[in-house]
Formats: sequence, structure tokens, C-alpha cells
Amino acid sequence: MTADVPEHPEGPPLRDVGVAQVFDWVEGRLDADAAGRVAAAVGADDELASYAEWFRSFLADAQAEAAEESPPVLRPRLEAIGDPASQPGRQVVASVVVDTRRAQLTGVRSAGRRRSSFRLECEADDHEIVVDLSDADGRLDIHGQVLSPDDSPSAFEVAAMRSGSTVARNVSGDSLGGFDLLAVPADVDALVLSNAALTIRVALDG
Amino acid sequence: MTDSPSDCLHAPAASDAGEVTNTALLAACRSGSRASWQTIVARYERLVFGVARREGLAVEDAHDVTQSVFEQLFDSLERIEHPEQVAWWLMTVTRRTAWRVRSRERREAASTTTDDDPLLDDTAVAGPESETVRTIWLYESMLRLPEPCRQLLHHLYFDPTMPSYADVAIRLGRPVGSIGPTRARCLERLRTLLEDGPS
Repeated sequence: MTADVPEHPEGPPLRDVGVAQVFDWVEGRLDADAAGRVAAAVGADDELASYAEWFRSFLADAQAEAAEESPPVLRPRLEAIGDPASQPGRQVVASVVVDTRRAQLTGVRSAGRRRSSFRLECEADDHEIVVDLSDADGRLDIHGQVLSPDDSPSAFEVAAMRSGSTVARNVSGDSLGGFDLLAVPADVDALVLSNAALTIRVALDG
Repeated sequence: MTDSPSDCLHAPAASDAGEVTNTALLAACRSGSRASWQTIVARYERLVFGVARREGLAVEDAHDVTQSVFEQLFDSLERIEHPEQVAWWLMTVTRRTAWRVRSRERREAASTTTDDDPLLDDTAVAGPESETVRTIWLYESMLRLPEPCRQLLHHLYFDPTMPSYADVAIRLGRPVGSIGPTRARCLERLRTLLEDGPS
């Protein structure tokens, strides 16, 4: 999205063309008339031309360096590296408070005869965990959230486990404790949620 | 994570410009200052993670590489000879570590390459020096901008989603009409910093 200097700029450049307009012009933000005036000014003024050249170079460098934000779970882990008092994260096993599959087994009327999705609500070390699991063409989509106490890191990495081995993980949990894992094998038997302070194991095999 | 009183004793003072140098920060880190380590992390987490991603790693691998690089930095605090060039050190180690991850993944996929793979030679990792210099120079210059300028330019030019002025105005809580003029002033400041050369 850049503009080129016309080969034959017509008329004298306007004296009030400023650097801000040069930047706008390079980014293609000006209408045709304004762009023509700036192009003429740039063509006639070495200093404005140098600004245009620098800005094009900057845009190219910035585009090459653009990257998404690092996951929120990362910062506390990096900070813990330099903290001599830092302890390895505590490891806890979540206790299930609600498992909607049990409602099905005990014949709650509202529960479907056969459910391809279910919800777990768990507690672990002052944290509340909600996990929704749904069948997606023979694989599982997992969405959940960890509600942490105010003074605890709130972002979590999530890993899906099978027989103690990690089969999928996602470090991009958000700063509200939300996490997702999509299209994981349907036979995973546990989730492990972790951050710098805590590792929570959530059994899925009921 | 807050500083203990003894930790505060180790914290380096800011220069007149309000910017604590990397030399002072790393010296304080060697003395056990958590606050100084947090500042180093805040300064360079984006650089390390971004380089790892641009080296072709998935988010999970880039996360792991970033963690590994900062662990290596912490373990190397006593040995870093030029603390002001810590960005250079971090970028080099990141590219090397990322390259090893990619190489390992390729070997696992192919199961044919041995540990004697000549591509594992660290010297094969560096890439064009001029490109590295430009990356670090731009990154360090952005760090030296006042926070509002840094945030504005980051949203406008370093966010891969390329948000509009309106989106950036919402994110920063500023009138949309102020974005263009402010961005011009910030760009001029950045240009001046870049002309001054790396600190």
C-alpha cells in the first residue's frame, strides 16, 4: 500500500506539505489530489524525499518483524527463571464436582440417551475448572476455563494426555484462564493444565 | 512476584533519561535482583518469541524455545562479556535453539539423518549479519521510545493483524483523530533514534 512518485509531477509543490503527509502518502492514505501534491513536493524536496525513503524502509522492516503477542502463560514462567525463591509449580489433582455423564447414567430425564458431549466442573487448590468436551467427527474439541484466585497467574497451558503421554498441547490460553484444544484423539484420558505456579490434572475417564 | 527489601538494595538506579542500561540490569541480576530480571524479560520476551516464530516454529515450540533461551541467559549471566549487546546474544541463541528444534523435527520425520548432520554446525545458523543488525537496531530503538509512542507504533506496524486507525484508537483509548498526527511525531522520534545508532 504505497504510492509512487509520478514521473512528471505537474505544478509547484505546496509549501505546507509536512512529514505527516509524506507518511500518509507512502501508506496510500491520501486521496488522488492530495497524493499528487505530496508526490510533487517529495519530488522537489530532498528532505521530504529522504523521509519517504526512510518510511518505506521502516515499513518493510516492520512487516518482516511483525509477530503475534507471546502467550500470556509465558511471562510468569520467564520471570520465575530469575527468582531464586521460585519453587516448582505445585501439582494437584482436580476433584470433580459435576460430571454431566453421571446425570446420563443415573437417568436424569433431561439428559440425552447418548451424549456426544459432556461437561466437567472441578475444583483444585482454590481454582475452579470448567471443561466442555464435544465430539467432532470422532475426535474431541475441548474448551474450558480456569478461574484462579486473584493473586495467582491466570493463564494456563493445556495438554491432553493418554496413558501418561502428551498427545496435544496448546500454550495459547488467554489471560482470563480460557483454553482450547481442538480435534484431539477421542481416547485421551486426562487434561493437564499448567502455569508457573500450578499444575492441575483433570481426569477425563470418569 | 514482588521485591523483598534486600532485593531492592540490588536494584539498579535509572539513568537521567529514566532508562536503566542492560549492563546495570544484568549486574543486578547477578546479584539476585528479581526486579531487574523482570525488566530484562519485559524488554526482550517479544524479541525472542518473535524471532522463534519467524524461524518457522509453531507457537508451542516458540514458547518452549523462549523459555530455554531465557534459562540459558540466566545461566550465562556471569559469562556475558558485552551486556549492552544482550539483544544480539539473545537473538543468536534463539535462532540457534529454534534451528535445532526444527532440525530435530526434520530428523524425527525423516528418521534418516544422523547426529553428524553438518547442518547442526552452529555456524550455519546465523543468517545474514546485516539482517540481524537491522532487527536488533530497530527493536532497541523501539524500546527507547516513550511508552505511548512504542505502543502506538507497535499496534500500527508490528501487529500482523494490521489493525485500522479506528481499531488502534479503541485499543489505546484515544480519539481516532489523534492517531495519525501522533504516529507522525512518533515516527520522527524513531527515525532520530535510528540515526543515532544502537546504544
